[in-house]
Amino acid sequence: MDAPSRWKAFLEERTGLPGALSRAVDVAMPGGPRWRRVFGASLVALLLLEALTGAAMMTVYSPGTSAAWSSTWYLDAVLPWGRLVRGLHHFGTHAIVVLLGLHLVQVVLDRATRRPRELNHLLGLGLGGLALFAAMTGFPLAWDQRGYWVSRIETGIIGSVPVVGPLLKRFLLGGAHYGQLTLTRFYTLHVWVVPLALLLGVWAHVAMVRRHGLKGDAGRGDPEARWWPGQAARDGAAALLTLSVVTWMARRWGVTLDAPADPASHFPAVPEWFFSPLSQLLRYFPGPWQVIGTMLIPGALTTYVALLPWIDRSESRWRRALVLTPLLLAALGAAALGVEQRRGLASPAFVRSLREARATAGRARALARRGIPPEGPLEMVRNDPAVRPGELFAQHCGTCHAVRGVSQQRKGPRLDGFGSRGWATAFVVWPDHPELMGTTEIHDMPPQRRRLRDEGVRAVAEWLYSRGYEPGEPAPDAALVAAGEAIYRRRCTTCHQGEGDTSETEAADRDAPNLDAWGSRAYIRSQIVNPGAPENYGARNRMPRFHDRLTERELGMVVDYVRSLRVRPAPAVRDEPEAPTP
Amino acid sequence: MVDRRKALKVVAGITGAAAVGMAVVPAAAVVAASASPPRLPGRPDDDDGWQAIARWDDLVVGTPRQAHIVGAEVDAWSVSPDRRLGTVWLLRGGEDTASLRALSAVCPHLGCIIERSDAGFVCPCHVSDFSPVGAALRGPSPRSMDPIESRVREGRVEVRWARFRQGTAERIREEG
Repeated sequence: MDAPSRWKAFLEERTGLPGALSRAVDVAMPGGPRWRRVFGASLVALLLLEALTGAAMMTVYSPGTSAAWSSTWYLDAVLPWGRLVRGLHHFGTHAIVVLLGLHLVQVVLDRATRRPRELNHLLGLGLGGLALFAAMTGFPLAWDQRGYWVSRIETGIIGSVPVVGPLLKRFLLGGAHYGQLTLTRFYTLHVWVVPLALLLGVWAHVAMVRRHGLKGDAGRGDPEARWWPGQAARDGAAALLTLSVVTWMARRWGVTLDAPADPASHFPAVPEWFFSPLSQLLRYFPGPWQVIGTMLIPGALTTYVALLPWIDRSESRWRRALVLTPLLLAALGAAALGVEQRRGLASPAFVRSLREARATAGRARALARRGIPPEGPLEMVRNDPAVRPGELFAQHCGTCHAVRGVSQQRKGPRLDGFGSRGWATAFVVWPDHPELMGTTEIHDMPPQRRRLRDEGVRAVAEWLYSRGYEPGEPAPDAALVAAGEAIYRRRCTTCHQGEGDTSETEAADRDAPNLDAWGSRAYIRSQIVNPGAPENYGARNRMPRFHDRLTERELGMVVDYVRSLRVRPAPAVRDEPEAPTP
Repeated sequence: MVDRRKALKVVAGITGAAAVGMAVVPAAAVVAASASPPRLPGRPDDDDGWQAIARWDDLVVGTPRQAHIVGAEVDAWSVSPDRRLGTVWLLRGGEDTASLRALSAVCPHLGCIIERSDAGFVCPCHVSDFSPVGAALRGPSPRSMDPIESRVREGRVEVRWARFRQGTAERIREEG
């Protein structure tokens, strides 16, 4: 005996494995191999792909509403091979749906559903349903906008099923709300319950195939033909081709990770293409009629397919055509519905919505590169330093203060350029300019250009600019600053409080602000927190206090935002008006 | 006919193995990659790593003092500010600031946190005894307590946190 045979005998005696393997591949296939019988084996290969890529993703993924998106992003963007693995898992699902369809068409046309294979046909349909359920439970796991919203719609449909719907939905969601428990339940269903059911189901399906033998073409070719190796070679080649196509799609497109799921946002939710016909059908049945689109039509169709072994019993071509034509029409109808739904995606409203959603998603992914804070990705996006300060400003300040691009209101000075030389110059030259104090009820300060001359204005503006200067900005001119400070201390402190007061007026009676830190973060903060403080505008201030309307963090963001306005152009004021404005 | 059958067997074996390989390789590769994950792409390199954790004047000669390293904890995708990253024992030998020594409280054996004892230090998990300056005396620890770079600047004790491989006699710094 040669070495391989000895090993075989060794294993056979102790485990019986080699013999079991030979018997496993010894399946009857009357008529010999056929290319059109390769779909079942490709489906098994795809299930293996799903199991392996799924297990690999489980070593990274973390099911929790604040970690699910983050861990998916990490897998996608940081870990080598992560994007490919996620893409394989995703497009593997698409391929499974396609092959399930082809497999079903093949067994129906080849009369492989008939006695004694009726029950295996039913089992196969059940497995198809399980595969769709696997897709449905897997889709929201990334906890991104699309997965979240599509899944909310799907569970909403389940909840609208008469009688059992509400209970079923509560059971799926883990209560009334779509949240943390929903995610962990979907996760458990997706990685444990459904795969286990699929494994047992596929095992039973294949066991029955082996019991009945492959349908084959009795009467054509070799009646004693076996699956191994002729059909096995075809099955292997088809599986390899299928996996190659899936790999190509995963590499070519990857899977988009949308912005983190935000229950308070709007999102143009569109399901995967294989749910498109159902989703489109929903639109035609308003209110109580919805159940026709969600239950009756799909239910009737499924029942018809399930009953095929008993309906489709004739050998006559014409009678078979009669029985199968409704299915052809249903398939065409589904295709038409799918096309109709895709056409709806070209509407301007949808396109705009989608563009916004993509921009948010891009921002979220870019922010995540710096690391995601413990509060989770949604808070990270909400507090995006590029967006949030502007939003806060628009919400709290923009009702009065004009800022180009955010607000055009006129109840407080325009803040474009606030803190810059230009803004200081404009203010000193013409304080009551219609975009500066002209917007307020305080009109005490007279124009200063005639009094200080152009050099004086320039020096005072330079000194004011230097008060809020921070390293990294254009440096103030030291000589000008000194000159400006001298002028300010000598000629402005009659009204303005501050170091080196020369005024004899009591400090409390002088309601012009202390400008010693003008334009600095501390100054801006103080103006926001308490604009009516004695060191600010005093009793005549009309701006509300924001000390309890903003959190400390938000206050910091608004201060940052106002600081960022320094680089914008200030109102251009070269001279006071000929006749003072009333 | 026999040749054709043999060829089909080879084709079936190769295509089947290749199909399985197309599923196995990416899955295994991503698991392997997460064993030494890359840094977050958008995180700037850390500063020089020195951080102040105590005041020199608060250290008492001959009495070790425990101090915590506080900083941003980078863990896979998350970055959490102000977390305790580690613990060190600070030793003051005399008046000269050069007498400062910092020892990692992580036991070189299996990573438990080392406590003070009458003899000096002890790791409570497997009872490794260390001298008052951190030299291994008894027990399973393969080496003495790991020194952490330290210095005194303007009255503040600063250290540079580091982690070391556990269980080896040689002291090997672990990155990341």
